[in-house]
Amino acid sequence: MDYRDDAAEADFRSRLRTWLSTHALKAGLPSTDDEYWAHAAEWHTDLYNAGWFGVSFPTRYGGQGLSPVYEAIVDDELAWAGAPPKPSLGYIVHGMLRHASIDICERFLPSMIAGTERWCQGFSEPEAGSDLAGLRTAAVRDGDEYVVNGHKVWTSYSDVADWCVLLARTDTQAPKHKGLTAFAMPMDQPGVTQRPLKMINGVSNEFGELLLDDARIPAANRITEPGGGWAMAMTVLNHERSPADLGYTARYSRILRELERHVAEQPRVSSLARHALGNAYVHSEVLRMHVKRRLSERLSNHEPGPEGAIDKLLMTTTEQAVGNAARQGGIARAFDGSDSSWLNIYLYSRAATVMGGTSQIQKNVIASQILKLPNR
Amino acid sequence: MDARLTDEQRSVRDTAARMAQKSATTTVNGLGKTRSIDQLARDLAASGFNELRASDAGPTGVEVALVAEQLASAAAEASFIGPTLAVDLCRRAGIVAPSSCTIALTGDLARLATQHELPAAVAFDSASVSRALYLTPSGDTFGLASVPVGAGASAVDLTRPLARLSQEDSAELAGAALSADDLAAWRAFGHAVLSADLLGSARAAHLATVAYATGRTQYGRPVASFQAVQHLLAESLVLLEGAESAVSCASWAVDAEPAAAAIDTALVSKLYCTSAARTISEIAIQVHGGIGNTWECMAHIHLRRALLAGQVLGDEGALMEELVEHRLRAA
Repeated sequence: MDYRDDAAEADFRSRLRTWLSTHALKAGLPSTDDEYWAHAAEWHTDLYNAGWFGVSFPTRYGGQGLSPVYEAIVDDELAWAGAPPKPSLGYIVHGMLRHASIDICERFLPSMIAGTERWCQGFSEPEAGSDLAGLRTAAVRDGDEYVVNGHKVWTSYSDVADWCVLLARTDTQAPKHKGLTAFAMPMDQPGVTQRPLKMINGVSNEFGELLLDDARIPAANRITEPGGGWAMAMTVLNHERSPADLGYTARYSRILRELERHVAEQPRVSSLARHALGNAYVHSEVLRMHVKRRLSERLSNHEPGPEGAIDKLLMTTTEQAVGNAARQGGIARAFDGSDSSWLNIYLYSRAATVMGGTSQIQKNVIASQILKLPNR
Repeated sequence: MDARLTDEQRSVRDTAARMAQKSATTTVNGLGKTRSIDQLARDLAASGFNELRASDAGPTGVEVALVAEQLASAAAEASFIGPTLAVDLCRRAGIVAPSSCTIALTGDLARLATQHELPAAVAFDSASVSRALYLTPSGDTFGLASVPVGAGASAVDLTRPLARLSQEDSAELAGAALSADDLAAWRAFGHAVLSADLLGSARAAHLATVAYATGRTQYGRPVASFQAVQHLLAESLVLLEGAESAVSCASWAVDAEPAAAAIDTALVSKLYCTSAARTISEIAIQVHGGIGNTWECMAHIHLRRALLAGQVLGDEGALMEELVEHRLRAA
């Protein structure tokens, strides 16, 4: 066991650190305002073009084929430099790699990874939240195309996406988990209407909903076999629940460093605020250590499974501990109107225990699939 | 970077687990049986686990943590952490540790005792040890001395005794010299190993609780089939996994990282594991229901061990203050 970099990892780290030191970072604190999201695409392509995004993805699709632990180096260095986190795309990439044909991967992954085409994820629906397999959006074959009707919500980045990984029902007779198929749906078409959803922190550039009214998808854009959508959705969710793929450790470290600077400047800080800050630091560091352990497990070709639920709960505890520290250490500035970013970090953190599957669903997964507790 | 255990480390872990399980008890009445405690002490001595920190030959923090975790998982009563901390302290001081020796802590367990604190000091982890090490400050450095271990002290932790110290027959250890930095690095090692002990206690409490909840029926079904109970057990597992990652990193860092980084990592680990082990033990008591609140249930044995380990070398309040100070100074 050795958490240190080997020679190649150290070289990679040092080149990344040099690059970060000379690249002016335009974005503000994550998830606090629309300004941040406006720069997200540019940050993605900058990172990719310089060789810092998709480092563990296969080379044939534009990645660098490096070991998964390089992702932890990227996260660490982004955090250390105070840079925005890497784009949260890993879960869609892994979903396609595992479940799509080589042809589909070759068509879609290179531009997705390079950031020249942007993607959103159409899974949840107004009537299918935790019970995702109950989704009703229907895709009906019509010659060389599928015609899609339905309603998707909680669709991150839907406002800027060129493509949507759409989960739709293609067989209404099959049991609910078996009638689903995944598609690559072009967003720029008359049948797709995108509406932003304003979040409790005031941000409206992150979240959206999709109204699908006779939207059309070429049959060749089917990502999975008919009926294979649920399996892909599970892979996507297992990775989407994984802080290793999301790169969120960098986000937490960065927010905490800023908060520590802010608190250090205050003439008087309550003991509660100091404790909240320390508690958030403890959780964010443990999460960082945990990610390293998980990425190391992938060196044994271990594919993320239900333990993603554990990782997600560790991550959401961290996010909300950071949010609470922001509330206790920085919120005062929101009341005189001088700076609401700490308030917004706190408010945004409340979504952590809902998105990507609620904490309650994660605990169900742990109970049934890991602890294997009886269900009756 | 590769956080996986090596084959050798896995073998240390498995050997320690077998050793600990052999003498383990699953009942409170089974505690305090001299024969099995002595057997485990002999096994530990024969395996060389007691001497892992005796030489500078190589990094052994991970191995010590693995042994400590397995011993705690079995609520083991033979001394290990105390003597290992004594051996490590002597190695840093450039001397060989006296045999059968543990460390003397101030009465609140927060730090190593110095000479004039001996009357209120206690020997930590004192099962079958004969002497305890304390500090003798002189200028900027610290020497070491030992005193005989006397009568047993309070028994918050029913698995790992504390003892009063004799006020006579103290002996200076010639040639011992420790800097403040040495002591800080030693303390980081201590927190990493105590974290492993906390992880082991928590794991034992969790596993026993899963088994109990699966066997206990109410309303004609196992209580483990109720979602409210399942969620408590799931929360425990999440904390255990976080604690395992923290212990892994902190126990590696004590030998591999510069002292300042190792100390912060150890503080993070100890703070996380202290709180996690307490929560997991509390969940264990809750899920055991009425039984969980009786003396005969092992849940309080694991909780008590965790409560004491959480105090050793600084309680949560002190460690959190220390960590926040470090962070704000560097901000």
